[in-house]
Amino acid sequence: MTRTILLALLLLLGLAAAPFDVAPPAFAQSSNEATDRGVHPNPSRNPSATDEELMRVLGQERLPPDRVQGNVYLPDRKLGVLIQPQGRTWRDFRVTGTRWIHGILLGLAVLAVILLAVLRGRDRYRTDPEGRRILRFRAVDRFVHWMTAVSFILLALTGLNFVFGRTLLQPWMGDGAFSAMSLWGLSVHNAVGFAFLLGILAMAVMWVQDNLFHRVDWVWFRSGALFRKVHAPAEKFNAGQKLIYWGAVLGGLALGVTGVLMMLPISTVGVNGMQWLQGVHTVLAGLMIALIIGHIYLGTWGVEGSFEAMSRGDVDLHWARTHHPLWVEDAYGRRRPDGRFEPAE
Amino acid sequence: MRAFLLACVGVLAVAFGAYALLEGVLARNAGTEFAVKGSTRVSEADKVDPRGYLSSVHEPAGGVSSGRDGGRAVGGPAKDRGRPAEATEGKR
Ligand code: HEM
Repeated sequence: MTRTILLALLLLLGLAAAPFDVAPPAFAQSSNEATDRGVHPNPSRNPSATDEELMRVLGQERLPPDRVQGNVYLPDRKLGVLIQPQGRTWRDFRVTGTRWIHGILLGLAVLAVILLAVLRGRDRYRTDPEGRRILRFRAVDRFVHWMTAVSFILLALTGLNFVFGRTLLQPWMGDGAFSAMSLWGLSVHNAVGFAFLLGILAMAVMWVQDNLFHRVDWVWFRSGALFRKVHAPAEKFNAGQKLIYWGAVLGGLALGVTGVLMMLPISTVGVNGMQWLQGVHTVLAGLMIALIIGHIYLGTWGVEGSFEAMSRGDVDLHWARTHHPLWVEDAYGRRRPDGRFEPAE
Repeated sequence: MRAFLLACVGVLAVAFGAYALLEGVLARNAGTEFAVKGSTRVSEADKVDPRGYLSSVHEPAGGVSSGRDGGRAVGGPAKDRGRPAEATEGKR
């Protein structure tokens, strides 16, 4: 495939930059002749290297520092970029840089979870003596959350395969299986991205009200509640959760935008633009994966009783009072909601 | 956990919808579209080489397919997909 494209570009390229000692066999001894044949070279960039010269340069291990350029007989000049210098920088980043970035971020996230588990331990709670429970997330909230979560995990797995697959999976899966899996992975990644984007948009709209920062959130930060088992005052979401919310919403939107732009053809932003999109996309993805690893830990093992909020929708009253006292007071303190909870005394 | 199961169905539904669009409409992206259009613009008269070749590299013009489709002739009729270059020359 690459060879076909190379040949395709070659046959459409006039050449430049070196002396013309060998005339190209098939065209352009004089520009008149070329024009007669319907070829209109750009006069400011006269061909100055032969096809042979270009082939020789391309075959070299190290490309010459100076630009080798020529004419493109395609109306779209972007298609004439055979080798773009920034492309080499980008390739190094794509092949080696991304592995380091994702490796370090994943390592840090796992380390953070271990530290949290060691320093903070499992945050257990006593249940309400009368077994009272209150509604925390409506069905539609849980639907949106799980749609986002399921798609995010699919995206993270298929995405990490782009980064680590060749090193970690290909050697033991074999070329055929790995290639088939990765092709499918790419389609899944592209398609599931839209479900994720939809989920993030819904979350952004539905939960923003509960995630605006207030004065009380500073109290939460200063209490060091993330690292110690103290329960500082918190609204429906504590300050740490609000950070997760904003990280997920802003990061998710940026991932969505860069992702969709990358699916569109090169002509939208140019080769250089595509390289930037990929860089931003992969770094943001790494940060978000790290964030969500922490979130999954806190939503399952780290804080006992919190998973029920997203699985059943309701939580133990005592859990709610200790973890989110201001929310309970605000939402349920003074009135009797849907029969599931009796007013606070 | 009904919300979770419904969410899985939701993800599948959106993903399949997007896949249908992506592989159908978006896969024929502007780049491919361009190449397809561009290739018909190369008329016989425009050929550099009187023998019918585009340049000194002796590759028939129709053999160039581009895009993310692994070299299938995306734009052409189904019967032409994956056929060698010569077979599609001039048709696209
Ligand atoms: C298997 C993966 C996941 C699990 C087990 C999980 C679990 C939870 C739980 C239990 C809650 C409720 C916390 C509470 O009641 O206070 C929650 C809330 C939330 N989840 Fe997830 N979640 C997962 C993945 C995700 C993903 C991928 C995202 C976004 C990309 C996300 C975004 C949020 C947000 C923004 C909230 C509200 C704020 C917060 O509690 O931090 N979750 N999640």
